[in-house]
Amino acid sequence: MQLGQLGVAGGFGLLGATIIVNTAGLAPVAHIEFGPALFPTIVGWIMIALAALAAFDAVRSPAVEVGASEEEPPEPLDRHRIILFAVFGAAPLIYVALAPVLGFLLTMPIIVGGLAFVASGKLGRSILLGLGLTAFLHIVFYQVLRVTLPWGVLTNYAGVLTWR
Amino acid sequence: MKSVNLFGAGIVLAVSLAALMPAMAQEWPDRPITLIAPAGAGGGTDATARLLALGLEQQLGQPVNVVNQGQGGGVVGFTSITTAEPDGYTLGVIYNFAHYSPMGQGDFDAADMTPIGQFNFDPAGFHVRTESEWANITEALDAIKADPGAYDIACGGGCGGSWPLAFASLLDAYDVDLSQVRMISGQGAAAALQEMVAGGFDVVPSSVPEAGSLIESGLVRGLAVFGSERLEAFPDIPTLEEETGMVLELGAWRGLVGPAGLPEEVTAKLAAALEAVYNDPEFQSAMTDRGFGLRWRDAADFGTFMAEEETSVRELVRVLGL
Amino acid sequence: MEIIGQAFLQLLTPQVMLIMLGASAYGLAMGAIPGLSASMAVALVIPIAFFLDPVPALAGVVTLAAMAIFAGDLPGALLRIPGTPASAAYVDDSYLMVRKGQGGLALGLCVICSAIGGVVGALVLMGAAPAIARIALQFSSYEKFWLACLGLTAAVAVSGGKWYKGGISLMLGLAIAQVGLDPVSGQLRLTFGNGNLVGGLAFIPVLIGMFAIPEVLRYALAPREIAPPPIQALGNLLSGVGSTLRRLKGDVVQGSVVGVVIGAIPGAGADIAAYISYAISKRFSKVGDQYGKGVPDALVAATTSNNAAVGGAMIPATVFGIPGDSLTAIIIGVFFLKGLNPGPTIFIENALLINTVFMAFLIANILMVPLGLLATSAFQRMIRVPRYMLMPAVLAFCIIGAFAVENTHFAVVTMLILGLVAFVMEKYQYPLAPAILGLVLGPMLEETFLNSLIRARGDVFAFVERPLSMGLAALTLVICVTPVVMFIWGKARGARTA
Repeated sequence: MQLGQLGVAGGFGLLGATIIVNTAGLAPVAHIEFGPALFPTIVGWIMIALAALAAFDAVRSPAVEVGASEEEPPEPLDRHRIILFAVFGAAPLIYVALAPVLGFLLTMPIIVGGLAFVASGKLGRSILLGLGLTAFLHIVFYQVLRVTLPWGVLTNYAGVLTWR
Repeated sequence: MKSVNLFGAGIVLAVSLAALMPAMAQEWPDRPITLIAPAGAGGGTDATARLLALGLEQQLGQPVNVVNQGQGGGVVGFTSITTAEPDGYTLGVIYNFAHYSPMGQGDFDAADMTPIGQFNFDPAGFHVRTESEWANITEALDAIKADPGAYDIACGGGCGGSWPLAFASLLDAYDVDLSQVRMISGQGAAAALQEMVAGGFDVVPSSVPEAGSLIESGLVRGLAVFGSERLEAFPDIPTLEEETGMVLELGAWRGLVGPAGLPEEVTAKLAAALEAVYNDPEFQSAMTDRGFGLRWRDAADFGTFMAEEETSVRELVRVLGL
Repeated sequence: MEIIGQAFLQLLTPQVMLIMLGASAYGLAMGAIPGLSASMAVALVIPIAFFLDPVPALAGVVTLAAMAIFAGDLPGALLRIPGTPASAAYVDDSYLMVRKGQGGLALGLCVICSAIGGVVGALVLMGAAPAIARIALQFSSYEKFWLACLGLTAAVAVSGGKWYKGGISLMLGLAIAQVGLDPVSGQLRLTFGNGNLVGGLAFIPVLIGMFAIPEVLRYALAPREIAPPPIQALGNLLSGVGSTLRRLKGDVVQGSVVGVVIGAIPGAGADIAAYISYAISKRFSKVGDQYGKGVPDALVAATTSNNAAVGGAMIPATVFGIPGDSLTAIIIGVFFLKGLNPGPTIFIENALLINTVFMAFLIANILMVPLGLLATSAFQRMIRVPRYMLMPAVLAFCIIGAFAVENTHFAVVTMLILGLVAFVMEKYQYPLAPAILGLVLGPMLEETFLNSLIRARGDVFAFVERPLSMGLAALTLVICVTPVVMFIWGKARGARTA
């Protein structure tokens, strides 16, 4: 039995069921019997069926998991890696939470510099990377390509800091 | 390497110094303005928004950045406009929107916006295949009235959009049983016209310039335009009034709005700027060159117009069962 | 012929040439940086094109599109983060080739085949656009439905490993495409009352999430510096390419034809073309079972095809204003903004301008060889910075790339969630390419099926009544049934000999 495989298969089965239940109440299109529920229902059932197959296979297989990729032999996880995984995974969320408040110019150096620092422990390089990359992105995307990146607390200075 | 680092640090220092400078207390606008277009990049609404932004930039002296939010058929963009801070720094170029709310797609109506002015109107056109049996619009309307379920009518995009609702209003005025009419949604007017040429639809209501290239190549005919006058670029297509005697003006419009509760001085300044842009011959020729019709409604008229349209569209959506 | 000469002269001004070079550099950079995509690059350049004269603006935009589509292959090969949905079809092959030390061949093939496909697309566009556009117009929703089905069969080709895992991945892609307003009646579907989901899960953020985020997270779990593959010198990039191409010339032809044809069908486009080419190539290849494990044979057809499709998609777009895919829709938007209105008379009224644009497109595809090789060489060096700096930078580009293409912060959340899902899927050997295929085909499949059914008053036989749809249906059926028949036949023969 492969517990991980079983869990993933179960997750997909659950997703299939959710899709079927969630779309069951949709009204059919005028003039025919089908509607927007048809395709999700089909997809949901196929997903459940395939997930059941995957689950069956997981139960039958020996418990030895094959590594995701041969070039990265499984190594024991240490605390540093778990922290690193967590901060990399959370970084986009932190950006979404902070950017509207602090603005792009303040949030991005924290994210990029912070990640590099947690990964390497080299303070100077991390700060430089954070500031340099932020300046680069700001110039290319905000000033030249005019993507409206958030200003946050710096809103009042936006007029002064925008090139025309 | 060292000198590069120093250079980087210098930039950083300069940026932080600039940030520390006290904001110059000025009147609106003292920073860039965001102009939301509830449509994808490259489409008609995007084009008008960019032409408008260029004009407003010259009038207001601040960059006006067009932001495309076309997700969910525009619902996302409209929601951003109506829920933005009413400080005059987030505005929107909008189009016929009254169907979103009764169709349950979005939660906003005319009362959530501050009207500034309407600058565009494109009458709908009634397009059929060249080999269609209908010689004119009266024949077409009579045929649809006689057997409303027999014909396939393209909505272009969603069936609540400007073109299908203009078409439905016409049928309603012609006393056709709307509940029987087959309106079929799709991926935009261009795709619907292509589908019609391939034999899929009987009628595609859309703006005339959108069908222009297919009309020129002899694959599509325009039976009528739903406006008060013939279009300059398509003088052969008669108006609805000439053919049927019905006085209807139906189609798509575009206007400039802000979120509800925009300060009065901002609204006034914006309205003046918009009117100046509208009257600029350069803007006018840029619009006509690209096939966009010009129509002016000032803030008050535009507000009344939106409110009226909301009432009539709600009724149509109900009858059509969308 | 005279007009071609004049068109060429139009491009020979210093301003136009500078703009084209600038657009090439911009397109190559945007396509090569993980997280940034070709459609974003073109959409963001609209305000700049606004201020240029028509000739440089339009020449620049088509150059940029050609370069960005090619450059999407680079991060795919070197970091396993494809830059365009089309590159996702063969990302495993090119990445594994680089890891095996065949990087020069892989990257060289990407450059040369992209250029060949692009040139073929451009020549067809210049020579036969009006005629082909008329044929492309005849594709109604019935044919497009079968075409989508045909595309779905490619899922088998891109699913390595267990077939049911490929199936689940495909279903996931189809399910993601169903979130938001449904395409037929506009009802809210799978939004769970969340206003952000009304707009659906956007394609590009999903793509970035599914490929770039797992790569970043894998680094986080194994944060040691792995030795990057040796840099391929410019000369080495081309060694072996010639003989490989001579061996696989059939694939080059197949990729070019499939690319132009599928590209020209409105609503299909480069992504579907690449998947179908990959599937065809795998079916007829002697080493078909090695596809997905890093053989050069797997790259050639698909990478040729996605560049040929750019020219193909421009055909109905310029002749009838009907874009083949989302990228072309934006390009046509720029044409329109510069006063070059698409239409059949474009070749009469604006003959010089449109021929100049096509000429620029052709030259861009030829320039792709030297510039692409330079970019490949530069990009290889750039990613040699320590990974503790590279990965935070990749993440920053992903955030800004997802935001800039959708203009919502929710796009960043979409990216992260799908990234986590993809990370788990990869860990348990679920292939990702079928999910991207499902995402591309989902809306087309559903919309064409339901709309055709409404028009046919519920009569399913309408799907095989038109000659063209009958042909496509038969083709789909043959492709689905053949492997089953072969399997049974093989078993039966095996039983007899035993």
